[in-house]
Amino acid sequence: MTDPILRVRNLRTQFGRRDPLVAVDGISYDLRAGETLGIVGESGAGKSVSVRSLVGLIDEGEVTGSVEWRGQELVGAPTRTLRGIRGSGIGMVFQNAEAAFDPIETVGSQIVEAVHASRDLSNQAARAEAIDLLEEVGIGDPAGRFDDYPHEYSGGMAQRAAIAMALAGEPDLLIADEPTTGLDVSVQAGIVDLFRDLVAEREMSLLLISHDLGVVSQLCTRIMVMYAGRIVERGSRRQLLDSPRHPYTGAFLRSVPDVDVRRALEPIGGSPPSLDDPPSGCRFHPRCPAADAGLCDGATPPTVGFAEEIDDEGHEATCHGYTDAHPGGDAFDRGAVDWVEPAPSEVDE
Amino acid sequence: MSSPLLSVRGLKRHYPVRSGILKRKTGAVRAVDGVSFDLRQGETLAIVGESGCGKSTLAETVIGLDEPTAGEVVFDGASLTGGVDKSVRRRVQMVFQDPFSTLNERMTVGRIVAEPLVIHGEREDDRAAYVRELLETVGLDPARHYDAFPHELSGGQRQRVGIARALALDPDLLVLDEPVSALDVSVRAGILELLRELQAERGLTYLLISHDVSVVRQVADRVAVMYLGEFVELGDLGDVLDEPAHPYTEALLSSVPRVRAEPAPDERIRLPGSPPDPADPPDGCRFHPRCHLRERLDDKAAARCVAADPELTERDVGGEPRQDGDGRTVACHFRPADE
Repeated sequence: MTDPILRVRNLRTQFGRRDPLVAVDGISYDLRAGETLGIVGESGAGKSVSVRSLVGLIDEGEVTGSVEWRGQELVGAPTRTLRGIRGSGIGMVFQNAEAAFDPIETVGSQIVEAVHASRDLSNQAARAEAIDLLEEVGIGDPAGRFDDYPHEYSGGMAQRAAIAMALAGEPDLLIADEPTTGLDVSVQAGIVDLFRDLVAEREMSLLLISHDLGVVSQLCTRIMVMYAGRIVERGSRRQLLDSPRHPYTGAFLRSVPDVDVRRALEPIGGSPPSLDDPPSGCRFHPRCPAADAGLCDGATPPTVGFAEEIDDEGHEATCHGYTDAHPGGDAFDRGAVDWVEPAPSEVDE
Repeated sequence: MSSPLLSVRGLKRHYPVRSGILKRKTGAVRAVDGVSFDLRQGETLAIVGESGCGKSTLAETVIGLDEPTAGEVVFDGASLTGGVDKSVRRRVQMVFQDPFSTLNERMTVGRIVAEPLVIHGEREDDRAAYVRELLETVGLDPARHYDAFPHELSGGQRQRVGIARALALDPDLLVLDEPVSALDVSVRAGILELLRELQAERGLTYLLISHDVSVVRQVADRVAVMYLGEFVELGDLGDVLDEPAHPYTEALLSSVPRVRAEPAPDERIRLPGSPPDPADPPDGCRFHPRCHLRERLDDKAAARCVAADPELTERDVGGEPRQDGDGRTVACHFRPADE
C-alpha cells in the first residue's frame, strides 16, 4: 500500500477564545494518491470548515493538530507556503463559482494568471494552456469564450471554468466543497461526469464535500460521515450504504427521499446540537433511539472497527452501541437500507 | 365526477422586454406560455422543472400575486383573476421556499401565525388559543414557541411556522413553492411527512412547485413537467416518473444522482447545451435543439420538430383508459406512439 499524500491527525478548528465554538473537533484521516473520498453530513457538521482548515483558509479561527501534505506540515506553515500549495499541489473548487473570479477581468486572463503562478511558461504557451483547460472542462468554443467576462457564463459554465482554474497548477488533489449545490439537475449531472473523467484521466485524488449523498456516492469510493464536528463513521461506499453501523448514518440514509420509490420518510428527531455547547459523551445521544442513559451521555464513545471483507479498508463507527456495556450489544440495530429494491415500508400509491 | 377545485385554462404570463432610450417594447419573455390543468379536491399536483422554466411564475399567477397576460384561473367556480372577493382569495394560501426570509424577524411566532386572522378580523375571542392549536397541529410546542422569535428557531421549525400561518384561515388549496429546498435532508423528511398528514386530516389540495423529482415522488398524485413556459407532459405520478414519455422528462429523471453502492454512470441521458432564452424560444418544439430522440429520427421526421410546436394531447400510453378526462398528456410528435 502506498503512503498517503494527505495525512490529517487530530485536526481541530476553534472560533473565539472566551466562549469557543469548536467547529471541527479532532478528526483524523488519510488520503492516498488517486483516491476519491467524500465527506457527508448536514449543515453545521463542520464539513466545509474541516477542508478549509487543511489549506489555511480559516481567517479568524485557530487550527491545531497536524496536516501533512506529502510529508510537509501545513498547520502553522507560512502563508506563502500555503498559497503555493493551493496554487499547485491542491486545487480547490467551491459552491459559488462566480466568487472564484474577479468580475472585471476576463475568464481567460484569470486562468492564464493561475497557469503563470505555478508554471514557467511564455505568455503564448500559458494562453494555449488556458484554452486547453477550458476545452478539457467542456466549454464549447474555448478560444471564443476566452475573452468573456465571468457574468457572461451561465452557472454551469462558470463552475466548469472554476474547475479549469483549479486545474491550472496541475494539482494532485482536488478539493471540491458543494460544487454542484444550487445548480439545476441536468447541469449538476454534467459536472459530476466531469469530475469523474478528470479524476480518471489525471489520476488525481478527490476530496468531495456534499450534503447530497447521491452526488457523493456517484463519485467517491470512500465516504466519511460527520456529525457535530466529529467523524462518526467511515468506510467504503458499499460498507457505508449497505451496512451503516452508526445510528446517525442509518437515520441519515433513511431520511433521504428516493427518486425511484415512494416510501415512509423517517425524519431524525430533534435538531443538530449547537457547537458552542455540545452534548456530553456521544454528540448524537440526545437524538439517538438506541442511546443508553449513563453510557452514551457519559464517556466519549470508542471507535469500533468492522472487518467484513478481506480487503476491508477500515470500516469504523464511533459508537458505544457495539461495546459490552451497551444493552443492545451484538444485536444493535444497524439501520441498513436497501437502496436498489423498494423498501418493505413502501407507501401504497 | 366532481368538478375540479382549481381549473387553469390557457394561462400566459409574458414580461415585456424594453430596449433603447425610449424603452419601447421590443419583445416578451414568455415565462408562462399557455398552460392548462385541473386540480381536484384532496389531490396533489406537482409542477416540476428546472430554473427558468416558469414554474414559480405559474404559482404566483395562479394565486393572484401576478396578473396573467391571458387565460383564466377558476377556483371552485369563481374566477381568481381580476377583482376577486376576499372570501374566495382566503381559501388559497401559499407556503414559500425560504422560511428565513418570509418571516418577520421582529414578530413573535404567535403574532406571525395570528396575522392573517387579524387582517381578516377573525377569531377575535379565542385567537390566542386557536394559534396555539395551530402550532400543535404543525408539530411545534406552544409553550416553547408561541413567544419565540424566528431567529430562535431551526430551519425546520420556521417552515412549520410558515405552514401554520398558511393554515390559519382554514384554506382549501395550498400552493407549496419549493417548501423543503432550503432545508437539510433529515429535516426535509419531517416537513414532507407533516404535509402528508395535514392533507389526510384536512382534505387539503396541494399545488406543489419543485425542482426536485425526489420530493415530488414522495408527495404528489399527479405531475406536470414544465420546460420553457409550457407543460411537456402531464399525468399520474407513477406513469410519468416510471415510464416517462417526453424525452425531456426522460432526461430530467435520468440526471438525478442516485444513491448507489455501485454507480453505473452510463445509464444517464446527457442533455446538451443549456435551456434556451424564454424571450426567444426555438421554433417548433421548444425542446428540439437538445432532444436526444430527434437525433435518431430520419430527416423528414426531424423536420416536423422544427416546423410545428406539438400540442399537449392525450396519448394512449397503455393501461386502463381514463374516464375522468385526467388521462396522460404528452407534447411530443413522436412519443410514445409511432415506435
